[in-house]
Amino acid sequence: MLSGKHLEKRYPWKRWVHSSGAISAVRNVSLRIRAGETIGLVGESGSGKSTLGRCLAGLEKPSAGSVFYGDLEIYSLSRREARFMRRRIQYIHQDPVDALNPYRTIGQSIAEPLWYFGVKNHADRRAAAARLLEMVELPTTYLDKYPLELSRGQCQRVNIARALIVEPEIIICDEVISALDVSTGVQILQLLKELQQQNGYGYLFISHDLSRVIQISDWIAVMYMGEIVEFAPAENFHETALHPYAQVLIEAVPRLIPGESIEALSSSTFETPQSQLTDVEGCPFHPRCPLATKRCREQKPVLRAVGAHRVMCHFVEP
Amino acid sequence: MQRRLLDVQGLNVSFPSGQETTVAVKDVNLQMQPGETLAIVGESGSGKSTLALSILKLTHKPSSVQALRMMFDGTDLLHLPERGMQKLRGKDISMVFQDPKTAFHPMMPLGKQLLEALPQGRRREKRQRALEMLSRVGLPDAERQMHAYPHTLSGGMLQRVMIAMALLNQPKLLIADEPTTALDVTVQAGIIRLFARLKRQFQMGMLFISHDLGVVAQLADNVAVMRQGQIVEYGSVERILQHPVHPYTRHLLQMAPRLGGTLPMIGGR
Repeated sequence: MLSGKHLEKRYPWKRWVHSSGAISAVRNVSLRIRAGETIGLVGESGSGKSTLGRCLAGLEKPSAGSVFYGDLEIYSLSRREARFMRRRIQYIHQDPVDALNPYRTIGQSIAEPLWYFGVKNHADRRAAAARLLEMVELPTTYLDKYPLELSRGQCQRVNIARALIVEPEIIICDEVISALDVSTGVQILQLLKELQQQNGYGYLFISHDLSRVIQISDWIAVMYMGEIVEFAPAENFHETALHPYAQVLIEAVPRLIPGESIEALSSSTFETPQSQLTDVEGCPFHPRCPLATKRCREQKPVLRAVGAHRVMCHFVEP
Repeated sequence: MQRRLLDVQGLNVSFPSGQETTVAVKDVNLQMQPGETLAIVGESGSGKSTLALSILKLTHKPSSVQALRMMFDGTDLLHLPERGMQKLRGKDISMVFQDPKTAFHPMMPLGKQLLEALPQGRRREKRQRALEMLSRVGLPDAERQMHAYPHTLSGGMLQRVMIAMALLNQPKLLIADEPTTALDVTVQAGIIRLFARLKRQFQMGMLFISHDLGVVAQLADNVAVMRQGQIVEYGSVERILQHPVHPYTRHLLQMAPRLGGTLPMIGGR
């Protein structure tokens, strides 16, 4: 189990002698990923979802708060312990081709992590890589191919194999299907699901595409301006979502109904989020919210339980 | 009968590479009426972008574009010399590209780039027209953005600037190559709404290339489904979405993201 407690991440910036500050990419977020469970993390670009993923994966030290793997705080481990931790938490990147070294064969790329974890025998590593290739449904003849000889979908399978070779418990998938064709993406998701059923991995699935996330997750976390504004069961989330921002994300999914007048949808909510350089007073979503009132502008709502959901909005009554 | 805006028959585009030749577009026929939106749908490598570029005769060299007929609004594009094509591009036919962040010159203010699309006229008038167009595409603070550099705008805002640039000369045909793919879902929804409004206001024909049937459903009048360089199904958007005939169209429809339900199944799993 991996859990982040009260995570904050600020990136300081400085433009001139007098002007400096910090961008808060993640603000007071707590999130728990259990083995065998998928949490879908959705939000627009700039909402801090990747930063949160990187903090949880041990790749980026949060400015405040702590991340626990079991009962180990991962940012205060000794090097030896950290090495063990890294084996248990893996990260898969968005662009499948960029994530692979073009000068290394597929077999070398998949097997490299094993070297760092003590498997120094070449034949053993190669055998393990071959086994993993079978697991991600690629022929073992691919061991000696180079990334450029493979399609994007096949490269993503290689990335998955590389993440799995160290036998992790938690895998953070950062927009893993955004760079793929629709049906290739579906195949990758199917593969991830099957592997989860076989081996009980816990996934944090980061994406801006709510429709796919609902289909594969157990829980949905909606992120806006560095905060989780709604956390809820994924089942029928498109009908049960409570936070106005979650509803905006649902409305934005293109429907397959011809002629359905998209112009009828409310307008200001589809604009880009406001700057993160300045802190917004009150509810972070109020400048775009169709329901915003004086109270929203002045008082910041807190995350509270409403049924099975947890929502950060003044308007949702338990 | 009304004159066709675009009439392409027997279009073949191929790229020679070494001993072999790769055929990217095979025997494609397309007709568009003025004001019509035709969507070309297909996965990557299906030849949909090459098809669009070949209409502008902008395919990468060495390539060979052959057709029985390629007429645009009464002009024969096949036999039009390069000079004539240059006059058409950006004026009668203009294009919006997929990634707004790489389509602009990174070190030139947006206003200057916009005005390049208007070769004739006085500077003050050109500026006025550009400003007007920027506000029509919903860009706030247009006056200030004219002096801004591309990196200071978000992807959605830059895409609006690119659309404004494409529309400055009131083209008869707008080619949009995956204009929302690089954008967030919410921003995409905004841009789709903008396209829907503009196509009504300007009465222009639109060739809309996308891999996402959901985006197409809301904008297109007709849809051409492409696979491996060929059009496998062609029809009105209602017919394609509600009564698809070709198995590949059905497959695409089944794979398209939609709210609710479970992950679609491939390969009888």
